[in-house]
Amino acid sequence: MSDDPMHNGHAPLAHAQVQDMLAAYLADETTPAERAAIAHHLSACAPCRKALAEAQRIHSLLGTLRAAAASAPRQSSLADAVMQHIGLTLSSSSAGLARGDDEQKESEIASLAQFGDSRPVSGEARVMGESSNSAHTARRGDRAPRPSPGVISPMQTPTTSDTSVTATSKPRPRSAPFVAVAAAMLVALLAVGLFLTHKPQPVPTVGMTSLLNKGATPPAGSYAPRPPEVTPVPSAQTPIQSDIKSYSSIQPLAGSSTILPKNPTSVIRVGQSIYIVMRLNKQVRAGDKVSAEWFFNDINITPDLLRSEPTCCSKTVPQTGKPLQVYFALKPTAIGAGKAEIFYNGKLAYIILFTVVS
Amino acid sequence: MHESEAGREEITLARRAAAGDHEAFRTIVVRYEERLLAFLTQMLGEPEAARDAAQETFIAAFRALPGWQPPATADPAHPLAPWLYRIAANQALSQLRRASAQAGTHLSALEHVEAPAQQSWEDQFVARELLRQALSALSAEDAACLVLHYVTGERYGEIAARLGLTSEAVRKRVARGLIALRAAYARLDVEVFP
Repeated sequence: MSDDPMHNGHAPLAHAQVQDMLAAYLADETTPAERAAIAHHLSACAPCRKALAEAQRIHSLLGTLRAAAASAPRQSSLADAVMQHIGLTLSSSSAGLARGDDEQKESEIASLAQFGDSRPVSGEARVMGESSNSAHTARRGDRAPRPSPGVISPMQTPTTSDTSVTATSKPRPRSAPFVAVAAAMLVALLAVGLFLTHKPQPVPTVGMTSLLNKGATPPAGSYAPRPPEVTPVPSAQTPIQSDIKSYSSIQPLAGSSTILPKNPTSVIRVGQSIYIVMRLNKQVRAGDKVSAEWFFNDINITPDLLRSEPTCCSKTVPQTGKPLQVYFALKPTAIGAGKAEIFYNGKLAYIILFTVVS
Repeated sequence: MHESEAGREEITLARRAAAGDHEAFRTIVVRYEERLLAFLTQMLGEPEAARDAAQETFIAAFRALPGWQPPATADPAHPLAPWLYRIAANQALSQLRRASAQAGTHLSALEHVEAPAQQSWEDQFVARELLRQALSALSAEDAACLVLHYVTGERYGEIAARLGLTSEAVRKRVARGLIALRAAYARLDVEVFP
């Protein structure tokens, strides 16, 4: 018997029906009759063929994530951390937790218990309970130990060189941050010394030594961050999107060349890196150049950076019309005030101010 | 349907854990952590974030275990799986929403200076952004079906067994996932054809 819908009694499918069935069609999860009906519709419907091509492209794109996740390094067992947390929580409970926390747990348990009903749904959306999530948000600070940056107050000492400063903990600019520069000179020199014995890669650094060698006397606060910390130059009209921002850390995705920006901030600590991250829209053309000029305490340090990292401050667009993202990074080893000027094909497009605190 | 021996053992473990037996719960964690970490890594893109979400999933599961009942339909060898996957999907969606709210930007993946394969990272950037935007519009179960089908590459029958759904329910959820993905794709304004 033929599967042709025109010969086996199936009614022709409408656009909406076909588009609802595209996922199953692509996954070969349709019945032979459905497949024939869809194929028949596609043969005469350009919009649905375009939708199918788009769905194929999406399917293919998401497949790239499979390979990236598969290559992620195997991690140690979670069991110890989970059991430690559970043990701590139980002992806290027996010692008498705040009543609000107990009530929160009861609410969470009631909400999650609904998940126990795993009867098949009829295909209608069933929005899952969210109360457990809010409970976890409130509890994040007391989780079992793990290597996570966490939120620190401006006065805390970072425990790692890239300890994150989140937006919520961002210290506001001091009225005269550079008064502290002289007093911290010894600390800065020590920091440079540490840098010489343990050179970070690939982020270029700037320290007081290079500035002093140039005879610089940092002027007070000329680049101290003050709102707005990102100043666009509208007349430049470049493909750089206006959500350009500075971050205190990035995280490489395991097994890929992709990274994630974290912790938007204009204030970093000595030893942290600052990352200026931007998106370029599809107006880009192959060969276009995006570049950064870095200033620290009023000195243009870009020539020095270029000597140590020739690729530090300029990127070339590889393909016309293809959106992409770019970042530039710097790792100051002294306190002070900085500025990054972002150029597109030599035109100043954005000015970004930042402060480095001890 | 008779439960398999493994399924009966898992139900026993769950009941012991619900009664406060930590060693029983540790066994459940060890049994499920690898597959939940893989699922959450595909959903979130970051191993560290996936580890956070997995840890939160198990902690929430331990607290909610006293209210858990073995499902009527599920892979008989893994009766806890549907419940744990749903908690995990909820944790991941919650993390994605928190991250979006904090960043206030769509930045999620960037050029790396030493990118060895230009096409590869660009595709991964677009894919990660597509997934993030689509997931933000879906329920936990729809999101789980989307990730297990499009990222993990599972067939509808496998997903149905894992999540304790019917194949028809999975089909509808994956279809909703594709609609969300196509809407995200249109918003990204990227070329359909090279």
